[in-house]
Amino acid sequence: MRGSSPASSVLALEVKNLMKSYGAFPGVWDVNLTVEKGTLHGFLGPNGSGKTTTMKCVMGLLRKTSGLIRVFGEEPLGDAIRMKKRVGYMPESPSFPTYLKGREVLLTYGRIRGGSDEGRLDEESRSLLQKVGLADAAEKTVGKYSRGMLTRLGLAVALLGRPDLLILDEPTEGLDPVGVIQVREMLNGLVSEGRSVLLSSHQLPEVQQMCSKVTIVNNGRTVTEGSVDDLAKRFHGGVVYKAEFDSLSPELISKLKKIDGVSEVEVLHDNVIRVFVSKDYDLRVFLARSASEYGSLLLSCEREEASLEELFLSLVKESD
Amino acid sequence: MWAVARYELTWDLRKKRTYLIVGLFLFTAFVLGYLVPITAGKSVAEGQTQLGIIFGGGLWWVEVAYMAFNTFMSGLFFLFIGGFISADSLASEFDHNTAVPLLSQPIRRAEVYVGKFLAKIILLLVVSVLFTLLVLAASEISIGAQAQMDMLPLLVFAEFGAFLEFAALAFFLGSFARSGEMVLGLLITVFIMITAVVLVLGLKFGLQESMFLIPVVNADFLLNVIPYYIVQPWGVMVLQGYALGAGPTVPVTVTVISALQYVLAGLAISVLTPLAAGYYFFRRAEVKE
Repeated sequence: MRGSSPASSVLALEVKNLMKSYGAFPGVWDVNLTVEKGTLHGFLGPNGSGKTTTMKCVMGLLRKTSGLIRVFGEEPLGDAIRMKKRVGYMPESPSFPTYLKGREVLLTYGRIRGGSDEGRLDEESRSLLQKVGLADAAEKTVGKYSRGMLTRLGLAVALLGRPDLLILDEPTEGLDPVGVIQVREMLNGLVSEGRSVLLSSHQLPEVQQMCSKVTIVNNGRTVTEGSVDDLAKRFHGGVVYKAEFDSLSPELISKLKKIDGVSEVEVLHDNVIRVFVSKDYDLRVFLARSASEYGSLLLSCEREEASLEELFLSLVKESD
Repeated sequence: MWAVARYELTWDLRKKRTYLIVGLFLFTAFVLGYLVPITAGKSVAEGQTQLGIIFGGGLWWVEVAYMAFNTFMSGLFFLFIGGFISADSLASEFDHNTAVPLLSQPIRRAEVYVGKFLAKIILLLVVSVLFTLLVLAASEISIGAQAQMDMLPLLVFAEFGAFLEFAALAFFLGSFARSGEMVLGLLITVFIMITAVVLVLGLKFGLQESMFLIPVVNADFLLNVIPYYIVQPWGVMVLQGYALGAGPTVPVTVTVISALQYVLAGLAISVLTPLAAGYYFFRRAEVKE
């Protein structure tokens, strides 16, 4: 590895202007991503947006066309042995040799990672299987594993050797709700130990709950990056009001749209609307006054934070 | 590298295909070593053979383990064992997406490649030993005591070398085809195509002798080179060819080399070249799915 940068000393992963093309077909155009040490970073984007391609480029499974990749401040070169010793990767839909038992999978990759102490490897394998909830299936061949079990085993393989950075592509895919909670708790535990996690997921509420920062990509480009709160504020001031009136006329909606700071009014159903506000101030008085002006009555009004899902959909729509 | 070899061997030993192929050919050893002499009579086993000219004496076990396969059939024999056992070694990693967890580990691709081939070396050496011993045992039972036991390592290594030829070819094909089924198809196609070309050219121009220089066809190259080296390591060999032209073809001496050079050339052409070419593709292989 080479090219250590002082600025990147706080970064576990840095991707700059990454481009990967398959002949004339572009995989990713311009992906930028920074994962700070000791954080859980969400990596979001619609299917085919370039998340998996980016992750595979970082792991050296795909050769980048251009751009910069730095892991813990160093650029991986050749087989990137030093980098891979510090990084655990879990692909989307992980596959393992079907003839091996769950415990043997971990022993095998543990040996390939350079583990020579069989006793220690065995102990680590059992502990990881316990951690991902596969202790009871340790002696079952992988060919008989369900999708969810393979996901859990994929997580265990990524955790082999206690990596400092985990790159996880859809780690809750195929898991039942209990499994999702277990994974969430496990990832939070890893971050509290000071490890870094890059997490790609379609479960937006979960990402919002778990990740301190997110990067959103679309059509092979980074659309935005930042903390979930900052992004929400950048989007709509981070405040949304859900209001119910006794009657709702087009004139009233038009009037609401003209209120200072209101960026969008969305009719949900019947007389219920959602008002997005770009300035953080109490809108309830204005809503009540406007309603009475047009012969209506404000029945209820709740203030809520803009969800990551709304933010994601809006940004993706904008960048299309 | 040893961890990869162990991983590969475990896989091989748990595959039905391995047992089917090895079992089939150990059964062939039994048929040729035991059933043929019993059925056809000792005269077949005691007849003058090509081996008799080289080594003296009609040795049935030697005949079966070595020269009985010195035909198109020998190519098939080594293709089935060496080639088919190795066909999905690299390809299935890409076929089944297991290349992702494997190549994400902190290990050089060269170690993965060599480790996998090392597993084939171990497996094919065991198959060579088992096959030769089974032929010897079957011949002992069917037609009595066999002679020239000092040829045992020679025969084992000759078979082993020929197996490696096809294993290396399978690694080469697997590293860019990346599909087990495609590698099997390509192996068979290459084998049939070259054999057909050799047959046509050999019959038309009388080039049968020169065809010994073509690996793959019937595994003659290493099958002949290795024993020759073991028997006469510091001897010399005259490589002969035929001059082609508008007039009649005439035999000409191409060159004279030492047996050592010959065996090294044999190994280089038949094993190391396809292996190195395969590594070139494997080194550059991307894991897209």
